[in-house]
Amino acid sequence: MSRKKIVCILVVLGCLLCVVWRPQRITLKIGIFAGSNWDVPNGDCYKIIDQAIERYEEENPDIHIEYESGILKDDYSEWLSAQYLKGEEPDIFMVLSEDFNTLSALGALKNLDDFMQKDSQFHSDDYYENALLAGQYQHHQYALPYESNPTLMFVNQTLLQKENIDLPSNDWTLDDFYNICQQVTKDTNNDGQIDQYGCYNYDWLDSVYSHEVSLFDETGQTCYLNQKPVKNAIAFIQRLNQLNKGYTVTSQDFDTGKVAFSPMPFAQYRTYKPYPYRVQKYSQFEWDCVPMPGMTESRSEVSSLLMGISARTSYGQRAWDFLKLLTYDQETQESLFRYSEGISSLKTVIQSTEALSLLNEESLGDTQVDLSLLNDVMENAMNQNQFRKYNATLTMMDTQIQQMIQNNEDLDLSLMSLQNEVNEYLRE
Amino acid sequence: MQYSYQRLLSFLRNAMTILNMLIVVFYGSVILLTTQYIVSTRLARDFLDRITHLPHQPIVAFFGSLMLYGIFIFIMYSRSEKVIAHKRLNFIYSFIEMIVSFTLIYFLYMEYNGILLLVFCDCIFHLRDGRYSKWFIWVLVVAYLISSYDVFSAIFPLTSINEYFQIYGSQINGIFMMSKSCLETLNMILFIAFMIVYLVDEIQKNQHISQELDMVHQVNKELENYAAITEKIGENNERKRLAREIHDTLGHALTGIAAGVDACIAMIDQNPKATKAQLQVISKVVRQGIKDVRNSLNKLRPGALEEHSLKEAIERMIGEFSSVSDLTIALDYEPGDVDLEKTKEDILFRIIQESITNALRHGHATEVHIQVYQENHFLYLKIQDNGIGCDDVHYGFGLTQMRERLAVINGQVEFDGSHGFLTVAKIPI
Repeated sequence: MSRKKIVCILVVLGCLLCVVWRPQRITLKIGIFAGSNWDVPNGDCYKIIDQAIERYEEENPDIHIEYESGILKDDYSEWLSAQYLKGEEPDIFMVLSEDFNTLSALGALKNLDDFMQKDSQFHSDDYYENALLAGQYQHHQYALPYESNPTLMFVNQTLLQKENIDLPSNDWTLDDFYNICQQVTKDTNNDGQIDQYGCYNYDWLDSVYSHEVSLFDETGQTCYLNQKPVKNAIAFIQRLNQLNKGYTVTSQDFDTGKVAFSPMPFAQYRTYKPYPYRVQKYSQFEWDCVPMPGMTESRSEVSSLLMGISARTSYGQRAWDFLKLLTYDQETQESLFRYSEGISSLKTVIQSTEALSLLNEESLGDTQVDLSLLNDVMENAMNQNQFRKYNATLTMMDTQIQQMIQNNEDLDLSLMSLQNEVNEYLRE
Repeated sequence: MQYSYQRLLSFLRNAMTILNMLIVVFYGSVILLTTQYIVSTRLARDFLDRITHLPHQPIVAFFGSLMLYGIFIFIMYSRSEKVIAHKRLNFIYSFIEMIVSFTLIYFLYMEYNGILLLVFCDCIFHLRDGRYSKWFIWVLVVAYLISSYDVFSAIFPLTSINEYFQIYGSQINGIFMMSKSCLETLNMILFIAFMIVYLVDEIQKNQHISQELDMVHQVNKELENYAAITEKIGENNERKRLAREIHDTLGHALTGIAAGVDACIAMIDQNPKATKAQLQVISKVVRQGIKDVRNSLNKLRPGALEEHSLKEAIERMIGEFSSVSDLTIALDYEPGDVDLEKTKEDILFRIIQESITNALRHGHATEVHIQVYQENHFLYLKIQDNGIGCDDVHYGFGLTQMRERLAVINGQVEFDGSHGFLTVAKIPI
């Protein structure tokens, strides 16, 4: 009896000590990588986060936020996975788009639906729908877009002027695109070989986005390759390629100004358009960006850098507060224009005068790219499907479709067999 | 013999305990070390692609499973005789054991459920009570079925520990699989050995018990025979005593009377005076005879009534009944000092005795309520039991005798078997 009593007393004492000496200050760990997500030079990569941390810690003196600096983007995915395996993952962290599906499928990310519903200050309508969709997996929100990067169409103005073609308007269509390509593809020095080309790097997926097709069903169980719009999209690429009479346009052709169009992420545009980087690239000709062409209106892909909360965090609410400060706060999101190359996914930020003045400060020169264009692009973005095998399936399809395009294969047969193959893989 | 079986059983149990500890350490280490291997060889991202569910924290899995195993062993070996004797507490111990081991299995990704076999052995070792143990063994069987990875992961998605093995490539994976399989098979063999020893032990115990039962049967029979003989002897003795009594009292008196009357017949004409005197003598002898007969009858009275009052005698009898059976008898004796004739007392006593015997023997009653009260020159005796009663009353020897006895003193008796059995006797005072 007395032994039992002693054990009981020890247990109670232990509990009391735990309560008394529990850590007074909560430490939130965040996971971020150095440099830009869009593979462009960036010197201020920690600035936005540091400022946000400072603000958050000021408002919440009981919380300390820390992060491990110096993780490169290339190492980030491996680093985050290792942290997960060791059970030491940060509470809030950046999620690369190629990791998002895997992490969501594993249940590694916290479902944010509840937080979003309960938080009266949070309105998901403030986000561009497609940017928000990038953080959804099987109809649940697992991450919020921190930074977005829409794809624009690079236009070689010098080349178009030479050919007496006007700069395409913001609502140009695929037909306009094809016509211009046809006009500019020619042999300029009369050596019998084509040396001026319509477009570079415009691949079948861009075409699929422009044709407004969805390749998979929502759950990622079936793919719809063998349908008319997909055929049209691939046939469009085949037609574009035929203009070059079998020649494959290289990046050197593009850099030397022999190509009229090429898809270009907005981040690259913002990096290389102003000084000092404009000296480094594309300095031999005038260039600008327009939205991607579409069937009736512009359609382009938007890639997003997401941020999520670990499913195993002990401080869900605090993590949500900080996540909101990073992804939903007007001030933080506006500073993206100042210190980063991407753009905010919040409508209120894109439409604000603050953003306008920040963008003007950069002296992008005479350009067609302005906030209303960005607004349109973000509104009309095509979103990727979100399921676990998405990346692998896309790689698989890419190789085969490239082959089809190159060999000018009969699309009906090839797409049908590819569809079967992909469906088989998806059902595995 | 018994002792060596117990020792063998506890040896097998100890061996299983040690083996299971090895297996737990083996799996825990695989999880912990493989995680480190994956991280150091930069395979973490690939690994995440292979698995289907987020793994546990390796440190928690390793130390958690070791700690749980420690708790499990503690519970297993701290079950003292006192706990085993307390059926419910014993059951709770077994249940906690099962919960702890199931959590442990969960920590190890449901890959190894052999620990439940150890729980099974331990509980069979300790659970002696039929009802709880039967249920518990069912629960254990269900737990054992659920705790396999294939079944559990169908309901709750879980990472497979095989993914950890496979990261090493086929050769090392093969070695792992081999050691895993060896350890698990060894555990299974120990379990089967335990069960065989246990069953052999049980069978032998049963044989032993049935032998003893046979012996008890035989002794019982002999006792019955002996009792029958004793009864016969007693009956004979009683008969002889009665005969002697009759011979000594009535026989003696009647012989004397017969002789006296003969003498009177011879004398009556010659000497009526002497005859009168003789008849006086005969009358004395007759009175003496009556006295003797009464004395003899007194000797046949119930022993209890000879020394005590009726109430005391009844209480005494109730006490005797209560002490030899589960019967609860309540006595409600109202008439205080009514002076009853001895015959009536005797009859009352016998009726109560007979009724209690019937309640016990035929009615299987547990409670009997006896009421004795007086009303309008009648004494009432009510005996109610809570037994099975009977639909219609069948007059056997006992009830018939009761009726006849009462008829002698102008009494009446009624029986009712609809709610338990009720006997109401009415005796004039």
